[in-house]
Amino acid sequence: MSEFVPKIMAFYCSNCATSAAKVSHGMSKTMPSNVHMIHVPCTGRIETLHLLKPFEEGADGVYVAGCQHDSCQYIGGIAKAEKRVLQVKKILEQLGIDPGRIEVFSLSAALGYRFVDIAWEMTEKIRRMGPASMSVNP
Amino acid sequence: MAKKIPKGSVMVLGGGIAGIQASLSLAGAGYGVYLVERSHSLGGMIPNLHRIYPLCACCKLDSRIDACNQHPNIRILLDSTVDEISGTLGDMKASVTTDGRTSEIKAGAIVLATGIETFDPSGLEPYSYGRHPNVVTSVEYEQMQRPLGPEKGVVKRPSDGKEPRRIAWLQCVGSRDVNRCKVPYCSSVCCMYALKEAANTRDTSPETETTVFYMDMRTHGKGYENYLNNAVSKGVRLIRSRVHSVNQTADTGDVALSWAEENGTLNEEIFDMVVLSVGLKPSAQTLALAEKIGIELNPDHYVSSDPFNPVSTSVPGVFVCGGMAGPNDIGQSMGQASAAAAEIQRVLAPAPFAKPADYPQNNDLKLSPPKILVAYHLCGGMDEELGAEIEKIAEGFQNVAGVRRIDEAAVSSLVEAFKKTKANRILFASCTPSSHKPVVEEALKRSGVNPYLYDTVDLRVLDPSDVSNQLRDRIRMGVARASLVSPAALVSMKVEKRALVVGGGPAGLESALSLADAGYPVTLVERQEELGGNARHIKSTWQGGNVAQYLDGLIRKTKDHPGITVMTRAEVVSNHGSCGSFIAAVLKEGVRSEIRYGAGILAPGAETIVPAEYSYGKNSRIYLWSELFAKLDSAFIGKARNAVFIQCVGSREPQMPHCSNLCCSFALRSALDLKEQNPDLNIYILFREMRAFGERENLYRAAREKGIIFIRYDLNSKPAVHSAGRDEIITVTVQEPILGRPVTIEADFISLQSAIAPTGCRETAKVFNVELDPDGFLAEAPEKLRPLDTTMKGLFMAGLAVYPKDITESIAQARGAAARAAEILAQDEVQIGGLVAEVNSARCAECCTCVRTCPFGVPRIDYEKGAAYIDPALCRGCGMCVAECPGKAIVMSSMSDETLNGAPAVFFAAAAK
Repeated sequence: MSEFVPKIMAFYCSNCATSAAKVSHGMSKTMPSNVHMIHVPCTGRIETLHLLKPFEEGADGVYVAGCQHDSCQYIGGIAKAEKRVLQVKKILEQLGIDPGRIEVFSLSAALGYRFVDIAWEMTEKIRRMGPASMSVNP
Repeated sequence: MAKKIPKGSVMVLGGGIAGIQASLSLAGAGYGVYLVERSHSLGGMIPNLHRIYPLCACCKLDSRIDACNQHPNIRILLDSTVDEISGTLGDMKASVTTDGRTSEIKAGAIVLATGIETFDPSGLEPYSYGRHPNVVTSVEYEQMQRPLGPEKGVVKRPSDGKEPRRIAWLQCVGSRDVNRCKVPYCSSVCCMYALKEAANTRDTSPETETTVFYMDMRTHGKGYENYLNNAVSKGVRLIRSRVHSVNQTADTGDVALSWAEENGTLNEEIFDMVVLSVGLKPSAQTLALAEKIGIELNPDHYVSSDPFNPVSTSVPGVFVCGGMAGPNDIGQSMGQASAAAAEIQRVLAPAPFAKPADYPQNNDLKLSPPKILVAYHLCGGMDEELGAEIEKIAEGFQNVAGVRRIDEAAVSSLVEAFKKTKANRILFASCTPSSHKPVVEEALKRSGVNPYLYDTVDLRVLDPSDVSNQLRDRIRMGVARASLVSPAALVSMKVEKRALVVGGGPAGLESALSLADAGYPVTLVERQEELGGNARHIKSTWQGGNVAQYLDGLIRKTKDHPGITVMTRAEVVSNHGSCGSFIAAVLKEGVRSEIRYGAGILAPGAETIVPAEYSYGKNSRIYLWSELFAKLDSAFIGKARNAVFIQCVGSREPQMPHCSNLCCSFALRSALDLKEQNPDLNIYILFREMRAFGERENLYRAAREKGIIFIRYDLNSKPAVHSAGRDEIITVTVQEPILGRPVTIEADFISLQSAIAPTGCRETAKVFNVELDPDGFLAEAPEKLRPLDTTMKGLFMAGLAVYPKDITESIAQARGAAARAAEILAQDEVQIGGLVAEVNSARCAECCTCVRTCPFGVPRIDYEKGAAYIDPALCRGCGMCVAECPGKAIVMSSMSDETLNGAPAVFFAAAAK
């Protein structure tokens, strides 16, 4: 068997995280191919189901990247996302899945390098955990 | 009422934040604008900074620059300098040199926004700058902190690349220093930026010790005192002393600082690195130009202006804002920039470059099946081969009607491609989708279709070794999303061409006059019987301007203006609607009336507190600052021997943490005036920090020279005031920090500089549904870099209700707010809706979850409908209510559940293949 490459889905806020992407890009950092990004207007838009669905479809890990608490232009979006991620962690635990497979991060232009770094960190972390084996259509 | 004024375009010199703001405000009001920038790009100082205090807003600069680039009424001239300006208002000529070629450009008015330079400390012996590698300037330090800087955001000291663990900031380098560098004034921004740099350093490397050596901690702006308290709680150490020598220690590269404590004790401490907080000075190149064209400068070499006309220069037709006008921070600079736009609207009619775009209506477009035009733009530095790759991949997907590269004339080429490919939606791929969104929306509008029929693909951070796979992944998702896009509901609304101004102090009066002079009718509502607000209590501005005379003129002009309806003893009791079309209910002496307006300015002011300390009210000679000159008669001043000013009465204490800003300059100005009347009068100013920021420092120096005595006290040893009765002698006892023992003063009278409290803001906020900041003043729009916008679109703010400040700054804000409001009033229609949330009434159970969830208080229950209602004009499209609604009754077409739930399948089904 070749080395396990985890499938990861990432939800990125289109405000702070987008300016962070600019910084990462300027630093010539690149995303790992196994991380699939979807942009949302605000991480507060994301529901529990949206975070569980990727696991059902075969993801090994999921993360949300939003703004800093003090600079969300919708005031509390990232706080809501954090709450939901925590909820999903509990659900995963009940399902016997490592809650570490889902995380939430705060980005900003000043922490722009993190835009790409967190993708690699998550990849490495999930790689060590191995496949999630929760997919309904493996 | 139309008076004859010349017509013309405007030239803005300087492409920093002030120049950008002035250009956008002017272009918004219909002027053609030439934006001339010396360097190769717009942005000015901000791109060199790490973060902006108090909140980071760097991300919002780019969108401003994009807006300038894309605005049909703004022509940008980069790498250009202006060598000569001639002519008069309405008919000016500037000779502009670009790449060695000089041309003459005509403009009706000029705005000087060329900004500041930072002080070069090379010549200052004691700081060892240039000789010691580990002594750097604050600008160099910010470069090190920037993630895109040479060390990728990890601060390393220059001598050996070691990460410094002990960093010292030295304040007032090139500021408040007459002897060594001939800069008498305070640069005003350095205390805040040093705190910012130190606090950010503590955030990123908590093990690093940060120490700031300062003379007075000047955190006088909106929210700044909280920022200071926060920095201290993060462990930033503050030492009150001017360091007298900076020495190299043998070999290690460390820096030894020696300084004296207030009581004279000498200290020495070793640091790994020292940051010099360098001051500001006006741009030297512009000074030469200003002198050439005869613009009057003040002794500090800033463009001089009348305290009641803060952005006007001595040359009619030439206006000033930002760093050329004085040591200003970003918020002040932006306010002044808009104020300059307002002043121009009074004297010059707009001559646009471009006619407003005409949008056709294409009702024949069928949305099903989806036919996607995939368009891409390769930004500078991107691999050309990426284009071929995108085309190859995109053509392989279902629903793709065509693939086009977009370069020059982005909007028109998109329109053409859209037509040719017979597409019904666009997928736009570029390096910065957020800056291309306006282009795509404009192209769709010009194609006659809904401007939200598109989605984007981000081409950044692609791995060059796996480009195909990553691109395919992103385009696949883009195509899937674009296929699901549905037209967002949009409604056009007529703009009500009237402004509402709340508050009859200088801020309210100034903004009303500005708008009325620009041709918009105004209704001004004031609670009290008389106009004038707090300015009625003030004798002179800190610069010495006669306030009573100014105020009389201002009130008369307002009352006489045919375009202004003044309602005194009146109050706005309710307000509805949205930007472009509001309805306010006004109650005046029991009679209710309705005012329809398109944009409003909130300037309800603030009040001084009535202190319960310092024997106030128990002695007839203990005054509040606001009553001092009304109650003191000159005969009494003439024979008085001792006067005491007590600062920070009620301010900067746990129950009211903000700094009241104007009290220090009030005390200095008043003390100097009193000294003039009675040179034998001993004046004592008891203060905590002497916040004579900016050019007010000159007053502080003059006061010391005149023998006024300054005694600093701490919060834990406040002065004690005693008097045996109403007309008895007053004694003040205070701990003298230099002598280290208490001193007692027999005072003939006392002026208490009582705090400015935002008492009326709460009611205003409730009526107009705007937010307050943590100190209770009106809050800034959360979009950032909008210092005069409230949290409600279409409502702006000015004056004391924003934060305490002097009259000059209030006037600048008021006129700036007027220009912002005029940007709305200049439009005939506003479009509302778009990427917003909508309620499906049939599914709504009126549970109020959305009402509680919305960060902006937009959803409400419509009892007639029996469902929640989300006003599309107010919704900002975050989607939080969509996520929270338990009945799934709220939908957002731009980010549907279908898209979010379907996304994983799109990704992983393909990845499995």
